[in-house]
Formats: sequence, C-alpha cells, structure tokens
Amino acid sequence: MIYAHEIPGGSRLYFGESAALKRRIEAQAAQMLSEAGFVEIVTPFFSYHQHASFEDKTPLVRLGDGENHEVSLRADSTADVVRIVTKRLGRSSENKKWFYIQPVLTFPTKEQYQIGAEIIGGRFAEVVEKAHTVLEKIEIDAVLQIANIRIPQLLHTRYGIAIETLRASNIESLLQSDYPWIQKLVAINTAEDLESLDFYPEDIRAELMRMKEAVAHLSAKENIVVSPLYYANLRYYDALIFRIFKENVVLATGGEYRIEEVEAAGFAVYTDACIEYILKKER
Amino acid sequence: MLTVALPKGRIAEETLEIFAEVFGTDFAFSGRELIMEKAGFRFLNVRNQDVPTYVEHGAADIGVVGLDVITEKELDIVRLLDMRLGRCKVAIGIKNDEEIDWSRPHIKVATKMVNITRNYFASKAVGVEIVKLYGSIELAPLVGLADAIVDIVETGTTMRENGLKVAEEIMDSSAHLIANKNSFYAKKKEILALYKLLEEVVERRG
Repeated sequence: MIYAHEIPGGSRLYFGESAALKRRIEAQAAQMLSEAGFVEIVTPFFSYHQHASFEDKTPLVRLGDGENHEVSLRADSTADVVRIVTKRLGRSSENKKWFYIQPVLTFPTKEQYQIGAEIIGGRFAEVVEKAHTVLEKIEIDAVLQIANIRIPQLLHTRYGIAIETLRASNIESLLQSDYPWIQKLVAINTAEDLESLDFYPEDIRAELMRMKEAVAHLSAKENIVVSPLYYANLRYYDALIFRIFKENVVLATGGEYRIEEVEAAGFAVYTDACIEYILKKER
Repeated sequence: MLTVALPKGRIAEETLEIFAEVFGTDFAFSGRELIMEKAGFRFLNVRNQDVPTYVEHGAADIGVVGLDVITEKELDIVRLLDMRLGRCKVAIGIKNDEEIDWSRPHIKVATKMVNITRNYFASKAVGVEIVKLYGSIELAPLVGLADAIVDIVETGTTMRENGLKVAEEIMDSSAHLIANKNSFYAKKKEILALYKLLEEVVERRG
C-alpha cells in the first residue's frame, strides 16, 4: 500500500530552507563557472547512449522510444555532455568548457542533483580548482583526495595483486606483499611523501610523478591527501582522479578521462550532499 | 581522537586487552556504559552486527568485527588487520545421516547469512532457496523447514547436540580491524601507527 504522503525511495524533495539553499548553491556555482568561461548546457533526460557508458546496466532506468529503440533516463551526465558537444554541437561551437546543473536518475528511483563541468582537452588541476572553488563559495572546508587509477591497474596487471584486494581496500593483504615498495605505497598520505620516488619501480614511479606534478599545480595546499592505492571502478576515468569529502560525506569527484577518443577532464559536485551537510552543520 | 566500535562481549574484552598491552593502561567498559574515552580513543560498545554500520557510516573511524560479517554485508570499508580473535568457520550443516546431493536441482537452506549462502551455492551452480532465520538455525533441518543450514561453527558442539554435522566449510572467520574509508584517508598516519602497534601484539600472541 502506498500512502498519500509517500514519495519513492531515493527521490528528492526540497522545500523552504533546503530549496532556497539548493537554489543558492546552484546560482553561486553558475556565476563562478560562467565568469571562468564555461558555457551552460542542459542535456535531455532521455538518452540513446547511456548503455554504452555502463558495463553493468543495473543502474539504468530503461524504456523504449516510439520505434522501441532502447532509451535510458540520464544516469550519468558526463558521457552525454561530451557526446553532444563533440558530435552534435562540434560543427557550430568552438567552446571547450561546459557546465551543467541537472540531476541524474538511477534504478530504481534514485535522484541525484549535480553541478558538473567538462573541459574538452582540459587538465586535471583546472577541474580540481573549479570543484574546490564551488565548495569554497558555500564555505565547506573539506579534504581533497588525489588518486591515480593507473597505479591499482599496474599493481594488478604487472605485479599480480588481486583486483579484489584492491577493490576491498585490503590493506593487511597489501602490507604482506613480497614487494617491499608496496608497504611504502600504502603509507603515502601527503605531497611530502612523494618527494623521493627512487625506491619504486619505473612504471609506478612515473605514475607517482604524475600525481606529484598534479599536486604541485594546485593553488590549494591545505587539507590535501594523496592516495595512490585508492581504487575506483569509474567508467571512463583513466588516470588522475579526485574526491572531495568531509567526514563521511563525498561532496565532489572528478578527474581526467577519455570517451571515444575525446580526452577531457571534468567534475561533479553532489548538490544533495552539500545541502545535507550545510543543514546539519547549521543545526 | 579515534573512535573505535567494538562488539559487545568477549571480542571487545580481548581487543581491549590488546590495547592495554600496547598502551600500558587498563581499558574496560564499566557496568552498562556504552562509551568509554581513554588515552586518546573513544570506544563504542555496540552489538556485533552493528559494528560495520557504525564504521561504514563514519560514526566510528575504526572497528573490530568478524570476517563473516564483513563478507555477508559486502561493506565498502578498509580491511586492516586480522586480530586472530573469535576464530570460527562458516559451514554447511546437515543431518547426521544425510549427505549433500549437489546433483539436486535446488536445495533449501536456512541461515542468517543470506549473501554468503547465495554466493557459495551460486559458485557450485546449484539453485538455492534461502530461508532467513534470526537464531536457533540448527532447528530448521530437524523440523523439515530446510534441507541444510549455513551457520557459524566454533567447536561444533551445538550442531552435534542437535544431530547435525558439518558437511562443508565455506570460509574461515576471525575478528578483523576495519576502518571507515574516509577516516582511513583523512587520518591515515594515526590509523597506520595504531595498526603497527596492534599488529606487534597480535603477532606476539600468535
């Protein structure tokens, strides 16, 4: 039985204070990104191409168009934004910096409002700065975590570390590895820990160097943690990624990625998480 | 300050003994106390099954919980250290005079551990109907509620006393130190330093 007051689980309802806060966060972000040269885009709720972005189709809410071609509700904005700006708008716009303020919808009834930006041919440091600035504008001082997906990939493919060990963050098992440098890798936590990299094999050293350079290019120097072993099963991100979190709340993620030969960098700020955190803090 | 969720009872007491050995001071909950602060730690005294919830939701930075609970709940946490406490097995139990017939189209199994059971039988390519129970699991095959059970076995006495035997062992379990993912990355130096101190004592104890 469904009661008259019920809304589906995972859907979002904002009113009064929380709706005003949502509007303020989005307005501040829109102003900041516009001033930084980003152009706004609103993409359709319905998409033909989402299934190409999801190896596991479970999160997709699927239906058919008039000819029964498979259509999904937008479960991820990045892939559609990149496809539309390069394939559909590419002939009419030279713009490389886009932002969007819209929700994603996943199975069965989950809604997640996001403020996102994509820079075609963009660099990691720039998207980190922008995501960080969005959070600064709403006065959330959070931890910025820098990771590099290629390091767990190398550990698995070249050094035989089970993917399950990395996925499950099984530190105990990693610390028992036959490679002594893996113990040092586990302990890396700050930019200072990346100063001397001679101890690591060449392929790992190159990826740590990439992280070191990325951190050096950031203007923010406080509250940064470096996590070379952080494993994330992200769809198209293929190198440097970041998370911004406060306590147990993930407020933003992003990084460098490749979608159909297009190299880009982007981020998403999770508006719902920001609203929840700010309201909790104010209470 | 690190917040540590401990499972009420013997595992909490034994974990606090290890902390006492590391820090040279006594740690103990008094009476029905649920929170104890000492030597830079805040200990929470919670139900075994709830430890991972406290850790996963960030109410505790770290916690001690059985590997069986970690596996059953498929948690997104950091696994730090086998504390070698509360050793047991997760096993399939059946009546003494029966054997598991893996050629059957499906088997009815009573258990508290639905995910472990489903995954194990799936790995054997055998259909399983799971009856979720919350206690006295051994009763199920005796009254025809299920063909077999999946449960924790420490000494095997409970199964034996109820006319059951271990048909197959699914996994070994013992209490593990776990960490909340964000806490681990935000407080890594503090947590790894504690890990090293605890590991030394655990190794020494064997």
